[in-house]
Amino acid sequence: MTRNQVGIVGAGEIAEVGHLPVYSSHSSIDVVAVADLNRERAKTVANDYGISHIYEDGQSLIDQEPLDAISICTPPSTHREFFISAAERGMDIFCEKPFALSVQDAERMHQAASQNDITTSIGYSPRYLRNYKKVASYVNTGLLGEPLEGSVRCIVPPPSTSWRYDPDVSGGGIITDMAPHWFDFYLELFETVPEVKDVNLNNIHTSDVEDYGSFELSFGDVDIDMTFRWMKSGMTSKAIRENKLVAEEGNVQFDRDYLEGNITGNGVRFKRGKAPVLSLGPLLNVYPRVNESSHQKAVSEFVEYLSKGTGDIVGSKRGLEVSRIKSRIYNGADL
Amino acid sequence: MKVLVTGATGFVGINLIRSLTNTEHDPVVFARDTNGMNGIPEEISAVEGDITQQGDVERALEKHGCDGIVHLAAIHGRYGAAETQGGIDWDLMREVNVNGSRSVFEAAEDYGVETVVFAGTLKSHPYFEEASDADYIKSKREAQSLLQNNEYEFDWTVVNPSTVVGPHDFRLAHFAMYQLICSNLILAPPMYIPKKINFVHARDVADSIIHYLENPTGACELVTGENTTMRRYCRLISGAKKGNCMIMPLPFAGLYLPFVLDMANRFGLVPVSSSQFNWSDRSVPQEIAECGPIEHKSTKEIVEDTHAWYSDAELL
Repeated sequence: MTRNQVGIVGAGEIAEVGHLPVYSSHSSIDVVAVADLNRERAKTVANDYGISHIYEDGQSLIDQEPLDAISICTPPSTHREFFISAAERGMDIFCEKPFALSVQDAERMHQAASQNDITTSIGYSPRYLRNYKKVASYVNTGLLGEPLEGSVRCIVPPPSTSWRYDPDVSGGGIITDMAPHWFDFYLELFETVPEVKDVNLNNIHTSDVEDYGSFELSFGDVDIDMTFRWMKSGMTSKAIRENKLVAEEGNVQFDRDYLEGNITGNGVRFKRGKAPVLSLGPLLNVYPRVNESSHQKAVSEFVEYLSKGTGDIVGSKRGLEVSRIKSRIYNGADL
Repeated sequence: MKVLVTGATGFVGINLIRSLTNTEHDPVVFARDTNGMNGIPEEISAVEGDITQQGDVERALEKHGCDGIVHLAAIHGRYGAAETQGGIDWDLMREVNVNGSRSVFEAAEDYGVETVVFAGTLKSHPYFEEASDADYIKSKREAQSLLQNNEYEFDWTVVNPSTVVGPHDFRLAHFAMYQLICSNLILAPPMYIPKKINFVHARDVADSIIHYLENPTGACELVTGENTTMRRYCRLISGAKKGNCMIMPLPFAGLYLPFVLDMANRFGLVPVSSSQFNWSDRSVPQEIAECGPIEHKSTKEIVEDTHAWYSDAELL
């Protein structure tokens, strides 16, 4: 079996949690190089995963290493440069989200990927969660009937990394940070570009980027109301990432943990995609213990695609579509 | 043969259309609404119409040049379909199941169709002379008699299946038992009673219909599976899933189980009521079990295929 030589640009948390554990567990992958502005961090990661080449600068890694694929785990302001030069060298790319700072950047990145005929994936993760996959299956098979309306409510703690509050580096606040995950999921589900309506953005606890956003995406006749909010810093309440979808034959309510709903009069309930092991209706449901990392799954599907040519990957075209929705939201709001 | 299938979007219809695509025959879907037809492959031709309007059926036959009809469309008031919500009365059932059938048969005669296969129900077969006078069965008998009493030019067969179970069950008619057993690892809640069932695989019914399209008999033909107990059925479901849960014997459960279940449901302890399960004996007399023109699938195969479909649909 040919082994794929992979490099990592950006050795921060996402690389350590989402990428390196997956790459190191696949026999078809050799991670041969890592780059980080913080050389000490790159060194630690290299030691932990037996990576032989260390760089301080991502561009040098791309220029000097003959790689098959690369993971871009740096802040968004660096994506365009790394992505395009890796694409021009024929490397397959897993790019973390936010994909690009602007629609223009996303267009150029998508163009580079198409022209060089490379495989890409982007770190949009809900589509890989079992509960979300179930809902997608109910819609795609027609079990739920025609979708009518839905909602997304995402209330999460604010990020701890400082660059996310600098729009020149991050591209925006919570709409850039969290919403693309759902844009990807619903674009995949409805296979149509939505209209953006009723945009309301605000910075309640932040100064340069929005920490609140609400709007409606209309996918044909199906309106999905979306609300995103970073909690006040220091708050310890549990994050909420809940979805509701109402269709002609039933409705479902789901997040990564629980999926409950009713399909043609039959109740369904799952925890992380698994049925209970003991069920007495609403009185008692005992579920098996299940761990699930959507991010690792995303990288894992990318690896599958590299080695076998099949896998659920997110093409750069989706990155462009998501960037366009995001841009319409920012342009439709008076921040 | 080009075959117009009424009721193609129903449970038997979907299985029939899929089976027909593996034969030399060419199906055409006839449905009131051809948008978003679950389970029907996209390449299948479809035409919209109402079976109670003879002109609709004739236009469909003419448009596609059909030489056969499989008439499955009917209402039975079981699954809560839009038109049956709030209950259906005899007038509506007669209008669709009897007058609708008449207009299909008359259209077939006028257009010069060669063969018609009509789906009756088990108890509308002449074997059951003393059948109950349930409206649905009565309506099917009346529709059958149209074929028996009119001297139509076309060849015909009535197929009388027992309870049809299998994949592509978009109405989830048999889902409750699978869900219950698959949601309990150790012990299945005892929702079965010591009665017997006779299930026939949806694909076997489909293949039997195709057989009679090719070999019409001018009679009512039974299509049945093996008789088995409700408990064995539950054990087979348990065997089809990962981890085999216990299915306890429950003596005399028929006397108290529906009552206990409804009580538990009233107090919010369980999400199902007794009306979601069929508590009647659904077996057939042994002499007419395992009838049909083709080799039938065992109850084990029925359960495995049904479980696989519910699983693939991410329902279990």
